[in-house]
Amino acid sequence: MSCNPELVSAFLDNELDTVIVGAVTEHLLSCDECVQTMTKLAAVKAVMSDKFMVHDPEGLTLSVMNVVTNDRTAPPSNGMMSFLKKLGI
Amino acid sequence: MGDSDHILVDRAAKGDQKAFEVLVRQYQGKVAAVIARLIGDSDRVRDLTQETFIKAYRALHSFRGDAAFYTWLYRIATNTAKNHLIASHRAPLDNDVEMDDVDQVAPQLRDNDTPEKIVLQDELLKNFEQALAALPESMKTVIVLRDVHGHSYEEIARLLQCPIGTVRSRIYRARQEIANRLKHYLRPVS
Ligand SMILES: [Zn+2]
Repeated sequence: MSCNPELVSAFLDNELDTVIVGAVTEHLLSCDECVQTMTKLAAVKAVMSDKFMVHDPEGLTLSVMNVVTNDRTAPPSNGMMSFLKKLGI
Repeated sequence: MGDSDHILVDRAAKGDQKAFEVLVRQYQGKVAAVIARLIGDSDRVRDLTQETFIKAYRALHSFRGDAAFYTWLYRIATNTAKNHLIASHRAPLDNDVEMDDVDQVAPQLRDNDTPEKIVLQDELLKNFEQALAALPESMKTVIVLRDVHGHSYEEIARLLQCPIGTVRSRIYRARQEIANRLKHYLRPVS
């Protein structure tokens, strides 16, 4: 699937057809440009509906993800899960 | 739960951080707005929004798919804001948000509510209002019907007697237009 900011906007509204929601989600997971677009559009959506907007939303995402990436109490990964299962935990 | 939330939460719970990142991008604005309504302190909104997502990440394994992801996140956000208020001995600003616990902690402070006080910096709000006013009427109508009145694309298409694809594209273009006018706020603070 190629970049389509209109679908990203509809994604935020939960208005995508069931048949394409999976493909758009997959695309968002692999396309930096589209997730950055999503961040901007989501900020605008928040200011429209809630009259509040965080400054530099991209920076906020990055600071959250910076903590998450280095988090030791993170949800166990797949590999860790099977390792724990092997141990009978 | 929406299909995309389902996919993303499921993956994030299995350790896919990119999936969690998409959820952060999708919901951080709403979470920040909820917190701002409660605490009204714009300096702390950012920290508490970050704290909300980190708590959510750590608790993902306890999330049950029977509730909407945002409902779950909303609860974490309000609790985070309440804890902040309790720690700083203040009452929340917004009466609409569930806050029974806070009532019990500091009922005497409720009369001092000033909901509109710091919900949005004046300057940003002014710029936003100008951006909205500058939109062509056809775009303004759809974006207001969607984001202020909460109508679905289908309802808007019926109301305006136009194809649903037109609604979708006008909503996107309206948001893009407003984003361009607010780009100063969307950029990193230099
Ligand atoms: Zn893309």
